[in-house]
Amino acid sequence: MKKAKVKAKIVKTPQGKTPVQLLTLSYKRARAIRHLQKINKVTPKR
Amino acid sequence: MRPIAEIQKLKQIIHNLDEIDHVPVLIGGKALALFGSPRLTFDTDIVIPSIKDLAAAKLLTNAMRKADFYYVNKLDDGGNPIGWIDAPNVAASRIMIDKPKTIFFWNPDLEMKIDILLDFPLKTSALLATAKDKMLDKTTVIKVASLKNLKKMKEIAFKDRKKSTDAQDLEFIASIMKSKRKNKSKEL
Repeated sequence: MKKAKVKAKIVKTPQGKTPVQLLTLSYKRARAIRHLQKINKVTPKR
Repeated sequence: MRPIAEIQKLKQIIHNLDEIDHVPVLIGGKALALFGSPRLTFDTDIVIPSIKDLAAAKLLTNAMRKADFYYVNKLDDGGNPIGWIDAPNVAASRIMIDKPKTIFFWNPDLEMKIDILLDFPLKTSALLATAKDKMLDKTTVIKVASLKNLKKMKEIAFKDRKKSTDAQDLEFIASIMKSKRKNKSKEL
């Protein structure tokens, strides 16, 4: 008998993005600001 | 899309904590980012159960060290790590002496900070009861605190420190809850 394949389902948010895409965006944004802080283009503010 | 280094590290931490029977619950700004919040956040906040003894502290510091995260013992005025402990067992002893509510871990290469909150501001069991599973990949699931609990925690934080970012997050949570209610009434 053929076994049924169970596929993991990644649910998209209402914005049409996956959780990984949303987190990636957040980490990339933080990375960009840290870079700008280092080259003194923005004042460090947390 | 190839996951960026920070996501890989987060997945590694989830797996390492799972191995020592800690189911981490994502809270704070990164949890809200998963609901679509555009606010800039630097730290990743995770809640786990309290650490009862040195052995448990060692398990935690070793699990974090395996993912190249060091226990932070000194922060500057802006909350940036300026001192951290290399040896996980020494870090565990430090945790037992300091007994902090929040433990900061730092990866200097990625400049990534993970704040581990010990049953604080809400109990892990209470958060887990309503937490939502979000899949990061086919084998990694992250538990994310429910909107209701995120709101509760933000209210506690706002009352405590009156930060504008907390007010901004509360506004965002309110708007998401409102749109969810609207969608529900449309379905009915």
